[in-house]
Parts: sequence; C-alpha cells; structure tokens
Amino acid sequence: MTPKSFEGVALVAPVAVPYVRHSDHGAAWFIGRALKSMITTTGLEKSDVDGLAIASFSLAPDTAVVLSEHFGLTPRFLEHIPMGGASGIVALRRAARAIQAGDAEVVACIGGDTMAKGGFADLISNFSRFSTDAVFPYGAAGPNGVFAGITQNYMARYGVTRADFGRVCLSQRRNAQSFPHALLQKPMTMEDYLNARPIAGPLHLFDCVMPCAGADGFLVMSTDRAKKLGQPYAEILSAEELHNAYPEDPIATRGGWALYRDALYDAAGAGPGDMDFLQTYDDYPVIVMMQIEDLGFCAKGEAARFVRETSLDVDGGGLPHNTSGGQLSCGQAGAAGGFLGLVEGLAQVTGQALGQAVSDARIGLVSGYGMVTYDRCLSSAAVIIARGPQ
Amino acid sequence: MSTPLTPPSSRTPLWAEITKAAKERRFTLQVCASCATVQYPPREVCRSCLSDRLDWSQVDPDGTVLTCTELHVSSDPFFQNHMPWVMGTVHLDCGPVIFAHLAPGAHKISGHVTMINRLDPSGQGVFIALPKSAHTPPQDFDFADLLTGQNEEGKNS
Ligand SMILES: [Zn+2]
Repeated sequence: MTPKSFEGVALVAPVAVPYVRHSDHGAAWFIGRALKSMITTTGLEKSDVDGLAIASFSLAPDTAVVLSEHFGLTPRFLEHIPMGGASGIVALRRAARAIQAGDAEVVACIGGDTMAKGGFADLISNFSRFSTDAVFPYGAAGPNGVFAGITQNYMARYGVTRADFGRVCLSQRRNAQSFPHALLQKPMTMEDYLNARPIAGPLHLFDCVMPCAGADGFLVMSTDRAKKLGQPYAEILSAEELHNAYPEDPIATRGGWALYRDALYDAAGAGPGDMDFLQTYDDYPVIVMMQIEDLGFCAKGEAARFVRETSLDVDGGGLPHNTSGGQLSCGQAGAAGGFLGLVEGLAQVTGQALGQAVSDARIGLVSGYGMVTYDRCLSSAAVIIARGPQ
Repeated sequence: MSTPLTPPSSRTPLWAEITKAAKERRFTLQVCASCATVQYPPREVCRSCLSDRLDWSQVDPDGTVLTCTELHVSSDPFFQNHMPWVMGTVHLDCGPVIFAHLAPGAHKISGHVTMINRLDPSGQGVFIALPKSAHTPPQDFDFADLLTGQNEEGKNS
C-alpha cells in the first residue's frame, strides 16, 4: 500500500540554539530556548502550540511529558522520539500526520541536549542494555569502537582510503566557515586531517564528532496556517523511516535507505540528480558515504570515487552537502544532531540560511541515522523537502 | 591505598549466567529450545521465533574475526592504563556476532579463532578470542595473559 502524501503540511521556523561545548543548564533550557525562538520568529502565542515532538537523551529520567509542565503548555499531541540521529525526520513524520489528521494545529519538533563535564562518558556507559552487557566492557570506547570496525571493513571491501574520508571532512569544515554556530571553524588541511591523533582503528580525531550542548527545531502546521502567519515554509514531498534493516548482515555496509529510496523518489517525483543539496547524518564519514550510495547518488562502493569527482562544498558546483558544516564541524549536541541537517535544509529552501546559501535551493534531501545499541545504528530516515509556494 | 582499577562491572541481570559460566571456564550462550537459534547479546525472547524458552548451553566457540580495532581512547580508567587495547568482533560459526577482547595472534581479519569466557578483574565474565592455532591450550589462558600480551604489542608498534 502506498502511504498517503504529506500534502497540506508546512515546515516553518527552522531555529538553532547556538551550540556550546559544555553547559550547566539542563536539557529543558536548550529545548525551551528553541521553543521561545520559534514563537518569536512566527508571532505565535505560546498557547497556539498544541503539539510537541521532542528528542533528548539528557532529559532523563524525565521524558517529553515533563516539558508540558515545565513550559506551561497543555498539548493535545505529545511525542518523545528516542531515535538519536533519525529523530528529526521521525518527529517530522509524526507531526505531519498529526496535522493532517487534525490531532494538532501547531507542533513544535525539537531536538535538544545539554552536556555536563563528564556527561558523555555517562551517556555511553549506559546507552542500551545490549551495549552495557556486550560492548562497553570491551574497552569502553563507546560508538568509536563500533564504527572503527564498520569503517575498517568498508575501507577493505571497497578500496577506500583515509584521504577519501578526508575529502568529506575538509569540505564540511569549509562549509562551516560561514556558519556562525559551528564550534569548529579553523581551516583544516588534508595534512591536518591525516596527522590527527588516533582514536580507534582507522578513526582519527577529525573523523569523530565533538559532543556538545544545543538544540535545533522547527514548527509543523498546515500550509494555510503558515500562509496566514506570512511565514516562508517548506513542504514534504516524501519521507520514509525504517528500523533494524538488514539484520542478517554480519557487519553494516548499508542502511535502510537502500530499501526505500525508490519509494522516496517516486513519491517526490524527483531523483537524486534533481536535489539542490544533500544533508546526511555525519556521525562518522563512512556513514556519509553509505548514505551517498544507498540514496542513489552513486552505486554501492562508489562513494569514494564520487567524492573525488564531485565537490561537496556549498559553492563548489557539485552537490552541496552538509552545508552548515554538519556535526563534524558544529559538534554533536546529543539528539539535536538528528535535527541539525534537517533544520539546515529547511533554512536553505526557505531562504533563511544562517551561513552561506545554496544558490536557488528549491528541493533537497535530508537523511538520518540513529541509535547504536549494539553493532550498528538501527534507525534510518530520509525526507525530500521543497520550497513552498510564495 | 586506592582500590585497584577494574574494567566496567555494570551488567544487566541476564549476564549473570555468563559470569557463572566464566568461573567454570565454559563458553555458553542462549539457545532457543523451540528453533535452536543461538542468541547474542543475551535477551528475553528468541530473535527468530519469539519463544521465551532460551536455554544457556555450551555452543561451538569457533568463528572468524570480522573486525580488529586498536583503541587509543577510552572513557574507562582501567583501559586508559592499558592503551592501546585491541578488541573487535567475531562472527561465530553458529551465527551471532560477538564483541571480544582479541588476544595476541588473533588480530588478523578473517583469521580463525576460538572464543573463551573468563572473569575479568571486575569479576564479570568477558569473551576473549584466541587464535585457532595457538600453542597455549585455550583452557590455560586468563584475562591476565591479555594484559601482558597487549602491553608487549603496544611496545612493539
Ligand atoms: Zn526460536
């Protein structure tokens, strides 16, 4: 059965709460600042927000429910989306359906997390039951230990070098230079990249994201409501998610994107060549390459060649990719990392980019990947967004 | 005098059977009584047929190395004192993929290994992959031998 379209749904007010390396604030501060910023931007009353879709690790032991009390809201639609790097697109899908069904009129989708000193060690030591029993005791390296193996296997299988990954990282660092919130903006050379200190297996310092605090979010409402507010908006041409794809693969070389990309492009009436930009989930450059392949920008195993031949810079004349610098430059603010690319994509198609704008960006693809509970991430998601009629 | 550092000791209750088996130097995993699927990590119901009749059984400990990772950074002080540390994943012939400490000689991708279950200094069972062709019989290998081996390899590299 073909899913219903997302017609009539508007994505409005992409906002970012600037990232900081560490913070003594709770997660609710970052999420609350994002909500406040959306209200200020659109001129809505706080009470107009009747839906919340929230992703956060550091709210624990609370969930999104507590935020209704904290923010003095009485939402009739409330979602807690514990899906890490897929949470932004999943929040968008849930909220869009709620708008279409009339279950809510204005849904605030926000990913936000704080980061206390030592907070990252706490997060990875107790991330999942499978990890507590069967991963963490083997060196306590967190996701670096898992993705080092995935990277090593991918390099050997497809003949990929560290310099190939370096092209992705260098491009993102260049893109970050005009993005005001990026924590890492210092220009990086290939020599800097290759000579960085080793972290785990083939992973070196600049292959890994820097944990930090921050929030990103957007509002979901009807296109009619967006027009009444006079807000530029984006529409959803298609959106997919899948969890635990390819469970029989002994090691991850692909993600769920490969299973639904045809449906995604068919529903959008567009193909990879029509995309004005691509925002991938960049927890590690190997995952960027998997998305480039599995989303059909090149054949499997060809992403290294693709990035050698195609500029990923905002203004490189190729495929503008992770145009705010991605997590590799901005930092990874917990679950906000699952919103960063989506919020940047929305800013690009609505003409509100904080950094350098992609020239005449009308349509773009954003993908997500989240939740490494054992030996790979389980959740994948992708959405094609387009500039709404003015 | 400070307490000696140990690897992380936190586990879910499901791990108790593996620690118990480690005391007897046995390698056991859950096997489904309904469909014989070998399970890992330990779980509540069968990943294949959803039966909750999962028996702890000695299974074939042989497999091949899928990944071998030299760790240079850890969030745990015990491992920080023993860097670089070598861990990886092993694809067991009986099905599951298992994270394990890789003993010297078991660092080759696609190499044949045998899995053993030993107590680590935290008192919990952990899995160690040994090379199939080892001169030392697997029964004699302990976690402490891993420490010596890791240090020597670290110095050589
Ligand atoms: Zn079964």
